[in-house]
Amino acid sequence: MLLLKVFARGNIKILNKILGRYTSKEFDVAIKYLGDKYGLADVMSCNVYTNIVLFSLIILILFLVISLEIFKNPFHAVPISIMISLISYMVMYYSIIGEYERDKFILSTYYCLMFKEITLAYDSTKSILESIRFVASGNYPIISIIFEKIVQNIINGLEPEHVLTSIPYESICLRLKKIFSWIKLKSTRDFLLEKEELNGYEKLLPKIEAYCLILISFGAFMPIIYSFIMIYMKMVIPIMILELALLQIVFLTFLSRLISSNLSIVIGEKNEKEQ
Amino acid sequence: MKKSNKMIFYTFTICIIIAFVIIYNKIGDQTFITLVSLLLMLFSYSFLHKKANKKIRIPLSYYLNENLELEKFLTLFVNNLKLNQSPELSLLCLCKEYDDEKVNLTIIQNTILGLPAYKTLMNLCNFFSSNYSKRILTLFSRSLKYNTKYFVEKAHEILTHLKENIKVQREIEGLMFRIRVRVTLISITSSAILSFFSKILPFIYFILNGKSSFTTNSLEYNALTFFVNLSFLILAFFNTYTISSIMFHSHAFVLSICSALVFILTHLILPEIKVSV
Repeated sequence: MLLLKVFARGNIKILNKILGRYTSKEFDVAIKYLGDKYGLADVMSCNVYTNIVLFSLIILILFLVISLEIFKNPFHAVPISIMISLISYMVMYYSIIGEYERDKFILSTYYCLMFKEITLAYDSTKSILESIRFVASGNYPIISIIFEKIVQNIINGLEPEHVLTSIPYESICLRLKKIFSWIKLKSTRDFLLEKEELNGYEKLLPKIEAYCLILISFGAFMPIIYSFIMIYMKMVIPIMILELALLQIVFLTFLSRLISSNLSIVIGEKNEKEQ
Repeated sequence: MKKSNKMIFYTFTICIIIAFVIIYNKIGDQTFITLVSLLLMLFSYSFLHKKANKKIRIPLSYYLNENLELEKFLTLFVNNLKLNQSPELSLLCLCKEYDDEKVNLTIIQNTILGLPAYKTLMNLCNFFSSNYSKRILTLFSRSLKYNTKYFVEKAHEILTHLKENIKVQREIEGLMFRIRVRVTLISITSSAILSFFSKILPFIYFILNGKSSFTTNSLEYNALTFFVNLSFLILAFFNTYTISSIMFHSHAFVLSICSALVFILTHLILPEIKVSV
């Protein structure tokens, strides 16, 4: 939240126009979602992205000056400063997307339960407002807060359909629309047995664990392996160990992003099957 | 944590660091002082955190008893409704069989006041402390208001499904928690392993390269030790940060700091290798 608040400030229009073209769709959606979550309605993704790039450039210049002063050798100073700047860029950029993905993961995890409850509540009360209110009171992480907002908007006089289409949570908005179309068509779906549901999670979560173990072994044993190789080959330059470690962090971040997107696909597939 | 508590914590941390520097200069026992200061920091943090997040906690036995009571209450109510009685009369008949005096008194008072049964059910929410019981009572009240006949048919089914849902939710949360704890522990242990290797790597380098004359105080040895320690410390921090991000931890940064602290602590606990040939 703090990161977003800091980077939402300042507006350099020319840079915003130039760098705004390079923002990914995922980043745009994440900024829109987080802006709504933290009540920063006027936050723009191009503005945040420009500030992240500018901040990384400042870090690059700062570290270049410091490392040139320390190492007195541009062949070591330049790659180290570039990698530190790249790492800071990735940490800031992916922490914003990461928060959005975390919330998305929670939504996907509890989606099935939410679906059951909303159908159950609608089935017994025949009221969309009551069914939304019922889920809102369920203490589900994130979902209940979103549903409370929807209830507030409906009570304030907005039409439920309008509220559903205007909420920035694309995934939940689409899914809610599907739920209500099912309800309207009266195509009642048989409830999933809880054992089947749990089996799904029991298969999915070890997958996440396995990916994490791969990352941990990559992160912990790679430096030991290349250090031993360097020692064995008698090619030890102390600064090179630092450079390799920084390079490894860059790879580690890319690898984690790859795994994260893979996980999103797995979760998405799971939910598609359930639907 | 509240802002004021945060300020106290930061001030306390700074004081501990200053005390650490002063005591270290006088005594010189690094490991002991670091351990004590870390424990003090953790203690102060947990104390302030608890103070800031004081919540009234319901004991588990009370919560379970309440759920059983609610189930008993609703079963009696639905059974009375099945005898083709009106909802209000069913509630009144329930008073004969149900033990809780407060609940019975509220039902009688509400019925004398002429309130419909669904409103009485809503008023009964105040006698239950758990969110689960309140939700069920609210849903049953709305359902009763909508269609009594339909409610009688569906009441048991609704209750069973809701209980299943709660069970599944708890099991999913348990699964997630177990995996998160396991992965975080492995990740923090890996930083201890990294710390161990950072300690012995310079030594191995000098042994394998058969340096005829080296001391652990030499410039080459010190430079190698410094860069290995720094690189491995950064790696320990980022390993945990990446893993925590993948596991969708909300406190990835705090866990990474813990991992870095474990690295430093292991490094301090391991004995110094001092060789001079």
